[in-house]
Amino acid sequence: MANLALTNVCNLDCPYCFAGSNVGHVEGPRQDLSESKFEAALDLLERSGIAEARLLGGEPTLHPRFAHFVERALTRGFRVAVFSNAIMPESALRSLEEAPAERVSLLVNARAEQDHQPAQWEKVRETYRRLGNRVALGYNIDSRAPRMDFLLDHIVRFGLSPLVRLGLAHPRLEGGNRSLRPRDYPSVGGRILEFAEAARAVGVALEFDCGFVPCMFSQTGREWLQMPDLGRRCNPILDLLPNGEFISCYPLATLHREKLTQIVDAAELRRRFTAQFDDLRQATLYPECVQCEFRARGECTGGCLSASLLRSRSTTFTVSERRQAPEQKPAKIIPWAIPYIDQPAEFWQDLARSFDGHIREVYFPPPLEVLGTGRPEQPSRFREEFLRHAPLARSLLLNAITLPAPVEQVAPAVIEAVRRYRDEYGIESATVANLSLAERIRDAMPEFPLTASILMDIFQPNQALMLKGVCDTLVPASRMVRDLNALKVLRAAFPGRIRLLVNEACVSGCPYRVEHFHEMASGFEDPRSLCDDLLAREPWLRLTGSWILPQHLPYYEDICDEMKLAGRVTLHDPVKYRRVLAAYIRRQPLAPHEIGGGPASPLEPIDISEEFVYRTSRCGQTCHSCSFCRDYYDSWRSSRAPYPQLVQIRLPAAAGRAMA
Amino acid sequence: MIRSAPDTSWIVQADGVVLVNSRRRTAVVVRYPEAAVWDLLTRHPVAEVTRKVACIASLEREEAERVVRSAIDQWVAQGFLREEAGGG
Repeated sequence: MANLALTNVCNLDCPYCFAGSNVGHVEGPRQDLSESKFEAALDLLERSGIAEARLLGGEPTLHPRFAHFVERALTRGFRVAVFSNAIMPESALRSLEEAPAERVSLLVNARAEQDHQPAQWEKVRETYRRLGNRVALGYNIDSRAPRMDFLLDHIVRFGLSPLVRLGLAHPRLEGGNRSLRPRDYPSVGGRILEFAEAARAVGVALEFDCGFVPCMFSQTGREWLQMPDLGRRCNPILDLLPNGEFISCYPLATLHREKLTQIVDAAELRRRFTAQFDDLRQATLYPECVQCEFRARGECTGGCLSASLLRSRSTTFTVSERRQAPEQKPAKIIPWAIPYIDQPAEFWQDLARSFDGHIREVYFPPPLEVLGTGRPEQPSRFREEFLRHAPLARSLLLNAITLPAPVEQVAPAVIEAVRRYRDEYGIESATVANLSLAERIRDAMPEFPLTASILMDIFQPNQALMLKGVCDTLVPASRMVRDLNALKVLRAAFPGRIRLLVNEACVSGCPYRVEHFHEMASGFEDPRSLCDDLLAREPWLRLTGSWILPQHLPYYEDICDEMKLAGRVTLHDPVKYRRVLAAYIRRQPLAPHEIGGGPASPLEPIDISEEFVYRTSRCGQTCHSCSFCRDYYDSWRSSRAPYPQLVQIRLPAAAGRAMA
Repeated sequence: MIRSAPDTSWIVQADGVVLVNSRRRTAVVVRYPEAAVWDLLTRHPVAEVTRKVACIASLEREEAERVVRSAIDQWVAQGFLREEAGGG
């Protein structure tokens, strides 16, 4: 079997077309197979003992000598099969009509009537009407919900051959065409079985093209189809291009080519392609293929090689001995929201000079009479000076975790205060912990940017949707700060900016948190860290806190747009504040006890390895079934060794990918 | 300096990775733990890869070092990594 592409031009533009750059539109540059090459190709078929000349394109009937080629092939004793879209010139149609019916067939790459323009459909109908049962229909499945019923309708209506050839839309290695995703194969398998039943009911048989895999069908479906070789049909098809070069198949066209003039016969050609691709067959459609029973029994070769190879990843990297600045990805400049501490204007001027471009805003609490701020009242000697003269953008913090009265009563005064700060001091935005309050501010001041506070506890996608139209920026809940996968999901769900708080350090999902913040924000004289007793009993829990160290920020660069430093209380010392901020901006290593975290931060200078970060940022915090953090802490406490002796870790099945 | 060779890509399988040189149309299957070494090398320096491999596969540091070194040597020999003149 070999296919001869008579021309590269086509009068349709199917989005799934495998032919890629080997096919162009009729109005573009064309390349037609010459008569001498056609004859040479027939010679090759003859030498190879192949009885059928299969003509394809592009649209082969658009070759100006199509009728002549058909006649030549017939004269030399071949049967002729034409792969067409049925929209052909009259001369081509007539040549097929007049050819002996038993020696010529047309496989039409079919579309539903409504997918054609009226003039095209007229042509298709004419072809069907005049060639009748010499026409078989083919259909390329390029979506998980293919509509195939029209095929049976056309067969019955036009008296076409009772045969449907199904193909999967495979991806070209060079890319660019719409293809069926391998993860949709099982869904498509179900549709095919439904279609097969309907086809059988009207006496229509199915054929399958290359690239099908048995696992896309249920056990019952496989038994019903009775096609034991279904999974072994990814072999060199041998397509001759109009320029006289053979390719294995269109999807793999860029991988290897052989010249027609240098080939003895099709068997040799097939051997050459097989040898070229043999190694690459180790790539399979799914990661699990290597453990698959069908593959082990030789019933499947692992699907379309092109689709398999397209799973590959590629990046240029340098194997280096030491830590270095990433070669291809310079450190991303991420703007920071930093806390107000009560310092004179010179302090802020110094920060502005030192970290130019890195600081987005300084957030500051209004006096308690406006609203609670998530902390007890802090020193405010320099606040007025800061508000009037700080050379940095300033943002208001409305961080009461609970309101002192119903929002209807609280909101008007808060909105008035926000307006005043905006008009008098040029305050540019606010962070709000209460969604009802945020909604009212947004209604009253639609242009004023709002950030959803970490205290809103937004940690899953449905919550992110609740902020739609209200908050422009979101600070994800503390419980998810060390969960990279959850952060990725939240980022996908929230249309605005994600601001990550790096050093709050509550225990993840702490059940005392709400009460603690309520006490801090509500003027309690002695707000307590209610987790103290718990952490005294289980000190390793501090390792599960919501902190990220400066040296580990690269893990988060693609997940957030901004970062936020906490520390209105814990970083009130300006020297420490500056040192911590500099470390975060410059990615300089710090230990967790140095970052000005909260009450549940590690208190001791424990060394946090990258392994620790790597594991604990992907573990989902399933602490009930894992002792990693406890072991890590115990190991550090007992030996002060930098790395714990770990329990045996079974390598995950797809560790390579899991590590990505 | 050792770099990944042009045209080298890799495919994650359940039992390891397949390293592919698309130009030469060669491919080799790399099983774990070496598969993890490849994956980690794409993002981390050797010292860190060694630490991670020791941790993940519960190997002594010396053994992890041997696994990493031997894997790198083999990939250089197979052409998936290549030694280049110049600093680095």
